[in-house]
Amino acid sequence: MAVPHPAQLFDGQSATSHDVKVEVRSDGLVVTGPAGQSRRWTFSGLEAASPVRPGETLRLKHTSEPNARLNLPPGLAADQVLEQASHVAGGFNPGKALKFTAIVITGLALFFAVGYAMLNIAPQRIAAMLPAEWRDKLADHTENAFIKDARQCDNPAGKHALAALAGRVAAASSETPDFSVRVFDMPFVNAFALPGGRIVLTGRLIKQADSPEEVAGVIAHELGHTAHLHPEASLVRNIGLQLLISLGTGGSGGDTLGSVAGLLTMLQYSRDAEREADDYAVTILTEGAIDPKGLRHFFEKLSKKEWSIATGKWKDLSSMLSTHPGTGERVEFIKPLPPGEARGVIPDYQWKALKKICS
Amino acid sequence: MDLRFGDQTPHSRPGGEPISVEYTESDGLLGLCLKNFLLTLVTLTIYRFWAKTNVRRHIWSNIKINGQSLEYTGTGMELFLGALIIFAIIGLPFIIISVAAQFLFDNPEVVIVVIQFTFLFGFMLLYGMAVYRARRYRLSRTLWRGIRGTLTGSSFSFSMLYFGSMLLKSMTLGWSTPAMNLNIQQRMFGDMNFGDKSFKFKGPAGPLYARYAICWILTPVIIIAALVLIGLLFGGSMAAFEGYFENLEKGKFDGKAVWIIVAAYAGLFALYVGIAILWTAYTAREMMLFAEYTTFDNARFRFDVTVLSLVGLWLGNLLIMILTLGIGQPYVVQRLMRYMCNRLSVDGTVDVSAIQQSTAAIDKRGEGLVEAFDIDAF
Repeated sequence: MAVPHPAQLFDGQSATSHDVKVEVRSDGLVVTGPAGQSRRWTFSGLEAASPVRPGETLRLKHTSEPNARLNLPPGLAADQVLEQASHVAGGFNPGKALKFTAIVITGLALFFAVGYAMLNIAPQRIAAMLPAEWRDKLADHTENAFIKDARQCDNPAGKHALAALAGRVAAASSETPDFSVRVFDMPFVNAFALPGGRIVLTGRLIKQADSPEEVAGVIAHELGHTAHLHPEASLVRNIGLQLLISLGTGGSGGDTLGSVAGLLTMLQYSRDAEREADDYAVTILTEGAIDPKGLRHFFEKLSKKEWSIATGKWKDLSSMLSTHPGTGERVEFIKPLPPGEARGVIPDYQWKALKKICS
Repeated sequence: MDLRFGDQTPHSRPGGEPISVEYTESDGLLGLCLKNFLLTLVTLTIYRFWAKTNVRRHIWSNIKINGQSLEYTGTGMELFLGALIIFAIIGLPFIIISVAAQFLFDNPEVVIVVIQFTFLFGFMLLYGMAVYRARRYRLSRTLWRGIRGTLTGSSFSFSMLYFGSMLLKSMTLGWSTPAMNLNIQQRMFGDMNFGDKSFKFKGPAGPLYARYAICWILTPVIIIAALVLIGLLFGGSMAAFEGYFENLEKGKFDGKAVWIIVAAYAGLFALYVGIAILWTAYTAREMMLFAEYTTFDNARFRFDVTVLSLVGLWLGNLLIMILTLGIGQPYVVQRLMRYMCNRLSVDGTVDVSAIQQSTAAIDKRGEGLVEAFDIDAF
């Protein structure tokens, strides 16, 4: 036999307080009053309106009447409600915790899956779809950030020799993409492929090169990046990364895009990308009968820090580019051609002219 | 338990009752801080909407008006969806346009600056809207005795008023600030209701001007005096910087120069705190006066703000945020709310029983703009 307990009801229509009687039954509460009204609040629809605290008034609401509030003073009735409808008290709820964990894990998995696709699969495809005009604009901006005020080496005989050398590399295969090669007077040994097939060599690289095969090897390697759209894909990847970050934090995140640092990270490639470019280089060099050991020689040189890292205004750029992943194993991968199979790249007089391109 | 005995107080009319506000601390806030921090971490910050909601639920329930606690009925999902929609409307276009500028224009730097200015202008234009809508959302999710609050005006016209007042403030070198702040407060509180009963706000800005003038004149005096002082103290030490950066390049580290830099920054921070404390004197006056101008039914508000206590509140909160790296933010909210409840008193009576539920439409989602603009502490 249920005993009626005094309680306070706000009906959600007005702020008036009503004195009511509450009976705790086996399936819920029966609220009697005001003025002869009667409500049945089932346990399943019962919720705490405020955090439940022992010794304080228990404030209840029910799904059937979202605005109505029932206040049970601390005592027998409140204890019975908390005992029979334990979900009201909140606290640790294994079912809810499990659901939450499942949502978080699914969310994280989805986030990383989408992230992986955005960073590793999509960029290449999106890059391939960029209109040529966009790619040119992109190339201009990147070039400005990279070259700064470095002088282009344009000794006429040297340029002629460089064109002959590049032509020799391009002729190796009918599938080489359009590209251009220029030399800039920069005080460190390196080479990079900018978007739009613009290959840049440093004057120091030409100066330190021991053979035309070495320069041809470097061009072939950079051409590999160009053929695989690595520079363009890298930019798309950066944009994707920023989108992901801003999605997570809700910030705008678009402003770092224009920064030079953002552009610089573009030309740092993954081990896989470098391997792809190496594969490409070795293939076309072999097809064109240019000895790949020149490329191998170049990698060995790059590991000499005193050559590849500059001071002053070129410090950042050179140190950033000097991180070439897995140089050691890549050197192993590049095998020289069997004796007698390699042909010369450019005649000796042109090689001499190329060496003087920056003078 | 029933509180229909207000008739005995002198100012009341039949049915009215006096109003008392108090804040009663309860256990669980520390646990809430840690839980929110951990879950925010594992969800890559997405949980922050639910975290905010948990804190409000806790703190609202500690605020008791005539012994009845306030109730917060908002949900994390509402805040999350609100933020998501604003991100889709504002954040995403901003990112897309910035990105497209890289491809489409010859001078992306210039274009990006133009875009950023456009968005900055939009931000200033919509700032008031963000504030207003957030307030509207919170009021609609705040219940007392089953009755919710509302804000019934147009958030767009409030936004224009806010923007206009910002313009006027800067054009008058700040001298219209008291009048403009009063205008804004008048609009905000004039639009505010509890159930079907509205708050009223009326009063002159004149009494604010004495304090304002003192603060306005003292600000440049303090800045100049501080800069002169810093110059006198450190001017002679400039020699320590000779060759400092060259030495740093070479890997040599000059400890003395570093201490001078640290001291100079400490001086500037002290200056900032000093100026902030000075202006607290004005803010305190404004808060007191604005409370006095506010009425609800037969009641008038009194906010016992003192400069010292307000500075203590502000410095304490600053320290909590810095020392706990933001994890203790719920305590900042609690201190703020406790300060208000302890120092707010209500003269006169309110006929509580006559208040009916509001029929105004309720926002389905909340606070997206405020979240996007990163305006609010809680």
